Amino acid sequence: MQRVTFLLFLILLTQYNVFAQSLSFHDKETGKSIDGLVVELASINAKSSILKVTDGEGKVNVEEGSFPLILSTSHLGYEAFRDTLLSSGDFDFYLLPIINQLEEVIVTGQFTPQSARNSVFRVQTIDAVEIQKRGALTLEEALTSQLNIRVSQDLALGSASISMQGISSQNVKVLIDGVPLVNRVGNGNGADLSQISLQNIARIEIVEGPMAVNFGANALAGVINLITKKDFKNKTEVGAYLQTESAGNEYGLDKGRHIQSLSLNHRFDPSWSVLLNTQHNDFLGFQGNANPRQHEWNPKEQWTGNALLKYELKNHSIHYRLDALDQVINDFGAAQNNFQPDGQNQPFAIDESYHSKRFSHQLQSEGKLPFLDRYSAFASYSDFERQKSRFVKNLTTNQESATMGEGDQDLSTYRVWEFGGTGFLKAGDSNDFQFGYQLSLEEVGGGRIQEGLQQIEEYALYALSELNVFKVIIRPGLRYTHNSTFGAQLIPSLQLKYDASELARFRVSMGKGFRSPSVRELYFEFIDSNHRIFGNPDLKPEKSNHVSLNILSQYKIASNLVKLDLNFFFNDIEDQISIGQNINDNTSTTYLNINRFKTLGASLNQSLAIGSFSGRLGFSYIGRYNQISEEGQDLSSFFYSPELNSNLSYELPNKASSLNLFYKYTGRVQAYFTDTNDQNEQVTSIGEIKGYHWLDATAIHSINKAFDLAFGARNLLNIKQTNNSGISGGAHSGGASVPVSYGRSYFLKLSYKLNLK
Amino acid sequence: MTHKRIIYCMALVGLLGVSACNDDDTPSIIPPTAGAVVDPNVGGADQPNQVFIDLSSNQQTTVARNTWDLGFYSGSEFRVILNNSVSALARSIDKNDLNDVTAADTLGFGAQLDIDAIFGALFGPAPEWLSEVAAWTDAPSGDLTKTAIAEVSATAAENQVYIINRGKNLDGSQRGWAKIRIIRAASGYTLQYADINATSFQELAIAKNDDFGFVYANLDNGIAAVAPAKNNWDFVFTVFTNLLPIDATTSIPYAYKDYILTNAGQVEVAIVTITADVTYENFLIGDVGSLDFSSSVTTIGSGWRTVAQPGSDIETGVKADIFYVIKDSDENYYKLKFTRLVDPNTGERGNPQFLYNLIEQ
Repeated sequence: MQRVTFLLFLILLTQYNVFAQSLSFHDKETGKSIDGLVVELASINAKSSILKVTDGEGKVNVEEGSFPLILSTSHLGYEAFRDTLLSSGDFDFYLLPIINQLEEVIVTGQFTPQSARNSVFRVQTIDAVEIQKRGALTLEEALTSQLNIRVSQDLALGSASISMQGISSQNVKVLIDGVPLVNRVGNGNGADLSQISLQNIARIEIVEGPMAVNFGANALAGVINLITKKDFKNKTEVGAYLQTESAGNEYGLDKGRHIQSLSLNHRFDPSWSVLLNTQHNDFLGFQGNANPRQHEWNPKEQWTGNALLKYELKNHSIHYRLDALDQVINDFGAAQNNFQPDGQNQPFAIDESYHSKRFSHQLQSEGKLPFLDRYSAFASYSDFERQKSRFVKNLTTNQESATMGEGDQDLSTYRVWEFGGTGFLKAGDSNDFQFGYQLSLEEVGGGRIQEGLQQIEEYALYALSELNVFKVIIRPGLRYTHNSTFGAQLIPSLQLKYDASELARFRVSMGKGFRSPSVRELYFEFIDSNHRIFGNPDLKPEKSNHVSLNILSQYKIASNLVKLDLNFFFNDIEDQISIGQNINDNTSTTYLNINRFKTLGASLNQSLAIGSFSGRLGFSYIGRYNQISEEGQDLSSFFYSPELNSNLSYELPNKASSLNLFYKYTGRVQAYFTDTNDQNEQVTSIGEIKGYHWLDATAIHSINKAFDLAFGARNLLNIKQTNNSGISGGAHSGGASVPVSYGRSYFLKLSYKLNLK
Repeated sequence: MTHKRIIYCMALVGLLGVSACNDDDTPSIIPPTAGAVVDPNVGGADQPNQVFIDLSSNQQTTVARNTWDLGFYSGSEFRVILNNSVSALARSIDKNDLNDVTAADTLGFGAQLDIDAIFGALFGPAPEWLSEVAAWTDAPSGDLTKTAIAEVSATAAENQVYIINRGKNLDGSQRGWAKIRIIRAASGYTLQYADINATSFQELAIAKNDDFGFVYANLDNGIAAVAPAKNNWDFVFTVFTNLLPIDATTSIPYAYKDYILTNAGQVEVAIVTITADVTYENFLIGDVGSLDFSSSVTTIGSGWRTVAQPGSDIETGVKADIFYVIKDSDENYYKLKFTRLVDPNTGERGNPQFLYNLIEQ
């Protein structure tokens, strides 16, 4: 980057081969003049120097005859610049603003932390400021209007899962500081986003496309890496907030959603610091049109907390981090009649509760070693469990008794021990190397798992390098994985980055990804009157090929710089796991590697800042493959779905307040399904889940140094569900609508912070 | 109602071999039951029983589902039904001598003539035989011209051998296989049956009995008592093997629990949707005229209940927004409302309850 900038300056300088009196300084991105820049002009022998400050036009005057001299600048918002002026003349200098670079430092998959635009592959970020502007408490809320990401709600389980680039959540891996976040169904993948609190998260980094060489299995679609706050400016910081929210049009002390949060961090000495956080997120349910006792959206009470203990040395930084979750979802059933022999009615209801607990322990260390320019290593243990309870409640006597059905009372557990490390070596100016290892042991238990408990072990070694050849950075990588269920896997990747100019930067990414068969797919066991389903321990991993092309450019609208990010991608997944007939026992079904799925698409993002306004506008168009088209009928191979999003932000002149809008259009998703026509014949029809518009608005106001106030409206367009016409008959057809939200809701948040130096 | 009691007594004679039936000397009319709350003994999660309900006498008759294999029609046609409640299936062999049929004739049947195997075949490329499976079970509508076993012909040689998968026991285990052949006899039918590899067969004579819709047989025990006399029941709780449409050409047998069939030719049913004006309590005889009665045996079917589905908030229970009006063979009108589906202590299905009242004339 800087080298390129320098080259540009040299070109500029050689063109202006004139003696000058006036030096003008401009913002390199907007072209505007820089006011208040400190310019030091020193004689060539450094015996004398003078300091000057640029005026409103970004100019300083230099007396004739003082040349040659050495010029150096300093400004909080711009990178320092040095040059030697040989002779006088009117010079124009273009300085690189620092702010953009500071904002976009990313770490996911990088050898060393660096700016997003210098990354060989595309990394998107959502920073703490944006999280705050959204009033987002969970990862689900932060991703609501993200392009290429769709959130789907499971009302029965009270969970929210995502798809990325049209690929399901089993293939999206969620990490905390690079370590997979264990949940009920996976080690990082298949996560319930509503269980992931954003308290103490500095930023969210999103990489689309398989990051298999760095992160292993289950990231076919991409990686979402939550980066925690670990650096604290002040000796002691106290933060607290209260947030209260309506659930649609329902609000009150026993309705709506109420959040309390407290955080505390303290630095004992330059080496030791500690952080403690806790948050209570109490959603009291949304009754809507449900029967008395029942809820359209079930109540969910969530306690989250984390603790960090950090020890810093000159060359090492070591920390221990604990993340904890305790969540209870209650599903209250409708009253049912039960007549006694004496004719008296004693109604009862069947209630269910889901109690989830997660404890994740991480020990991480990073720094320098005599033989490595940078290393990082972690050891982690995660323990997730969910207790499902189902019981009958006599509504007259209030007596409760557990129901007896198979699977009614079930404890599912997911425990993972994981160890990993990377080393980074700089071999000369243009060759960097990274290598790493990862070991994991998963232990999964539950009622429908064969023998109640199963284990999977995995070992991996990987290496990557970044080679600088002229203007092209080439990043090849290779990962060797050995898994106790499916054996060895060799995964290559190749990424290229070519910066032709500021107007055209190209990135190409090619990679293979894989998804390990889940424990359920390997060891499931379910038998009832109509179903005999067994896992298949011989499953192979699902494999994918991914190609993407990313182009970054910029243009100007009335001297305001617009950044442009154009992205094309293609994913081809083979051996996708689906239910099929067991060859050895044709009265049972099992999981087999039989399906194929592809997605392809393009997205275009543009961002612009004009004075106090900043805005983003994005568009994407994703095609999802129809395997049924292989059957040779006149069916389309792909159905395409558009997405549109926009963020607008306006900072008020008082600098203490901002107004923000977040919009997304989620386009229809079509699929083939079997339907019965008027002549009572079975036909293949196109069904679709209708598209919908989503709009959030917030106002943030800083009352003083201690207090901030936020007011917002979620789902201003009051979307509750979207229609699904792709429903065919049968014993298990779901509803004809897909739940989106409980409707337009308002929130108010009061936060307090105290910083002691 | 006297004649009904007489019929019932005769039925007992027929079924149990009771030697005499002492009717009251004084002819008295027993009025139909005005109403009751009934807990049919379906038997819980595995639903072991078929429970026949007679509203006018407030009687329930409980029979284990696996006590029979075949039902022989007592009407004028010669028709035989399979035990649908255990998912029995039948397929013909182009031979008419039971002793000629061996395991060689049934090659591949194990992987086809089996409700679980058929379900399994849905996954992966559809085998050719999948489009035929609907014919291996009786039409769920109860239409006797569409049974898996063809009409028993008067010409004995035209009656083919059938391979029967006897379905599943209450615990899900297989009841086994048999080869059968049915021919007409003077008073009804002769059933020939044997194990598939047997070189000889047994015979069972089945006489038609006008008081009963069907006469039932068990391949292990001979004649079996199942449904009460045809005038003495209105509907039955049963596991029901329905046909589930899969695509344009294929329907597969699929077992429904908590299913209700009405007595064919005897009973008519109308469904009433509860509104602000129409409630169970205020429904009177004058409202009957506006109803649309159906004689289909599946009018109640599974429509009286809902079952929780993954991903939806529908609960397992009864539909609270409807009730039924049932017209029995004596032209009595009953209103009937299902009150529950599951046990109020264990939450298990197969524990239904309903409430009914005679609609006074």
